[in-house]
Amino acid sequence: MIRTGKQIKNDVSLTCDVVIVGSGAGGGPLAGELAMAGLDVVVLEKGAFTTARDFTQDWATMFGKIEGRRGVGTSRDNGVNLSFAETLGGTTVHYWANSFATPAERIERWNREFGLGLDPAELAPLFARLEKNLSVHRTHDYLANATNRLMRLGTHAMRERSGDARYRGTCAPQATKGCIGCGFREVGCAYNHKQSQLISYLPIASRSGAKIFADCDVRELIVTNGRAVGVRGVVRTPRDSGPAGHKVEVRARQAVVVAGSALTTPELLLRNGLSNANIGRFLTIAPTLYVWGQFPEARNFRKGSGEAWSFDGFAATRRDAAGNYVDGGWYANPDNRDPATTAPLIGFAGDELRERLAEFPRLTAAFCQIDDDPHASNAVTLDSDGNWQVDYELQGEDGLKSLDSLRKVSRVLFAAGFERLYIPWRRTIERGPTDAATDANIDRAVAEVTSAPSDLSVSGAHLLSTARWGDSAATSVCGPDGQAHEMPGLYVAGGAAVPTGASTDPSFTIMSFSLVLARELLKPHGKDLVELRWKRSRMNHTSIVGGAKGALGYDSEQRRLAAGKEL
Amino acid sequence: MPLNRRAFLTQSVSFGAALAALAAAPGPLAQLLGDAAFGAAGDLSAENLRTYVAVCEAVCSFDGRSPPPGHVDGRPHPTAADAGQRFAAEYRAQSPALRQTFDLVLTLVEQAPRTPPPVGAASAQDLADYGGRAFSQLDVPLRLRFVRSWAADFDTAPVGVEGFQDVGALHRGVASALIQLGCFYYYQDPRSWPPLGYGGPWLHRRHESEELPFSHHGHGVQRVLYGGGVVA
Repeated sequence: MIRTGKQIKNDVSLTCDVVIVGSGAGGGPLAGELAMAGLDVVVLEKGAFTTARDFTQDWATMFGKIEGRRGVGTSRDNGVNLSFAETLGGTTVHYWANSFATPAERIERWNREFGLGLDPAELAPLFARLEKNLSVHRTHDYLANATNRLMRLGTHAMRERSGDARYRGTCAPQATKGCIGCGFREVGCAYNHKQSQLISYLPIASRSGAKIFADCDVRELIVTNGRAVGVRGVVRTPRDSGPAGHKVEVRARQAVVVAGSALTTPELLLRNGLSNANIGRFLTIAPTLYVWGQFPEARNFRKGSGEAWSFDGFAATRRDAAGNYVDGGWYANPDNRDPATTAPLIGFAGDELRERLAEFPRLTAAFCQIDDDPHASNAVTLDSDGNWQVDYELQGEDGLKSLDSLRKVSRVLFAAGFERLYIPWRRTIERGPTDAATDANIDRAVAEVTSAPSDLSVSGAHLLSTARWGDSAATSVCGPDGQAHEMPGLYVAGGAAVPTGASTDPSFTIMSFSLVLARELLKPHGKDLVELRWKRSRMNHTSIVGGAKGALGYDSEQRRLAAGKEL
Repeated sequence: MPLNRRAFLTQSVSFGAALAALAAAPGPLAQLLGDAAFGAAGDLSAENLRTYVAVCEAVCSFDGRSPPPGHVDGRPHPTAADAGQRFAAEYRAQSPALRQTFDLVLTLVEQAPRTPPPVGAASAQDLADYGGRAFSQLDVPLRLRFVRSWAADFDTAPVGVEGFQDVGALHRGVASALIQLGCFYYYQDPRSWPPLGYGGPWLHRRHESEELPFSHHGHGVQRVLYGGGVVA
């Protein structure tokens, strides 16, 4: 069953096997897998229960509905925009559904530095399971917007020109079924074709007996004899400014799992007095920088998926013999923006902004995501009201990686035929008469950029590592089994659990961690993950009627789900 | 230690207001930091709404000289006042902490043109040109000059040097916030989209008159390798 805040008419007191705080890429798969295996599960989500009928395909409106802090969360110095979802289904409601398995290099690093003991041979079936359950497949060109194709052409051209084989990319595996390529997946799929947690693992959990509460703001851990045994929260509608309503108390016989974002998870742990020094520290955000391009003619830049093809040949960092940074350590993706999000991000004002927007049908963007290293001073702490606040700066090599990504992505876009680029802040790069002249223009413009986030217009959407798993309390918050070093019964899943940046879109990594945790939590019951036990529909698990013509309609089951009635 | 954002804004507001009071300009300290400047019961104050609209008129100006027009190509077009109403609605929906941040930013910006550098105006010449006026009292070109001067207040520190320990970096942060806040609530109005050639949400379009993007029927999908490399 799913209950929204408005449907909760009394204080709630429940007992279960496992209570999960958060319902996104961490909490959703965990809830689904545990419930399928027969455990009694309760999920508490701070965000609202929004469904396809709420998804207006309008970025600005949807920010207020599904984004944490209504889409205007920033670091304390205002230098970094922080993007994370706060809705049932979490970040999977607003992601592009990219589903990259964790790179082998990163798993090796986590095993080496954090003693996670992850066995690639054991992880492979977990990724395969996720791919099957979420219908992950590589995205065809016909579902991608034109920026994807142009960037791919640009990398081919640059590879031939430079002889550098790293100018290459990958067709992104994406979790969709029957995508029609409308191009608005990032603000909630209005057709229920994207296999977000909202329509995949959460309905599975619900049908398997899990109780799911939206609009529930968990503020307190219940601790008995040093062991986490439950949580307390309040119902709050609307989620940010609404008054505290009925109380919700859930006691768990086996485990309390905190699976919020990398911001809200340490917020809850710190607020409840946990003392591990690593809580909140080592935040990584995959700093995101935009390169805007003006193409000679209007192209299909808005229809079709962004991020369907990923320019990831430079994901690995290259160093010289002395260990100094040479290049790489980032990946880039084509984007898809409307005027409401283009205008603020492109950085111009007044008549200059209007001139840029007059090019809108010819204007598109690529964004670079930096594989930032975890630094202790990049951290989530509590403000005087007990709410999260973030300090984040580009440190060490991260600034160099940022500038390297701007240079190389600019080269790719010019090679693809773009005639003018805009990079942060208000810097214009013109195509030169020759490739060498164009390269010189790029290098000159990028050389003026400093590494300060406010110069780079940095945003962060892949927030990780603030309560990371590891084998030592000196470097991590939880053990390799996900259980907090300092408190038995308390587990962490979600982005906070991942030890460092994932060097790719982290959604699948987060989900795989949840499957690892699910197996741990099932062991005492003598159980393991079970196969999906009902017939999957053509479109998705909840038999939602949708189609290529965009016709929407929920079957009776989905209507009952939307109404919060038991299935 | 670098100032954090809130400490900087708080100090700047106090500093700017005190200087303004000394110069016998409008906006003495008590009024600036009192209820008149900060909204009660979750509403944006009239003063801060006026400042926001002034910001929007500048950063969304079509020609750099005047506020955005009410009509474009004979069709109604959003004004800065419309964006102000959207911002006020967003303000009401936000948490108290963020409402306070909005208040501080807008109050700081309102006072900054009549506050000497380095905290306020970017240069002595700017200060003279602003003529002791508050931000919302400046005409659009001067407001744009103010935003751009703060946005361009770059330090020349090389890569790797921390960028938040000088006022310039914080000026840039505030200018970035002004541009983002002004543009975001202005260009989310669907009436601003047709002149830009943006068709809006797919859901609202008349599909029969549009090129359907793609038909997924008849196209197979290639499953990824972890699934066994099969082609469905």
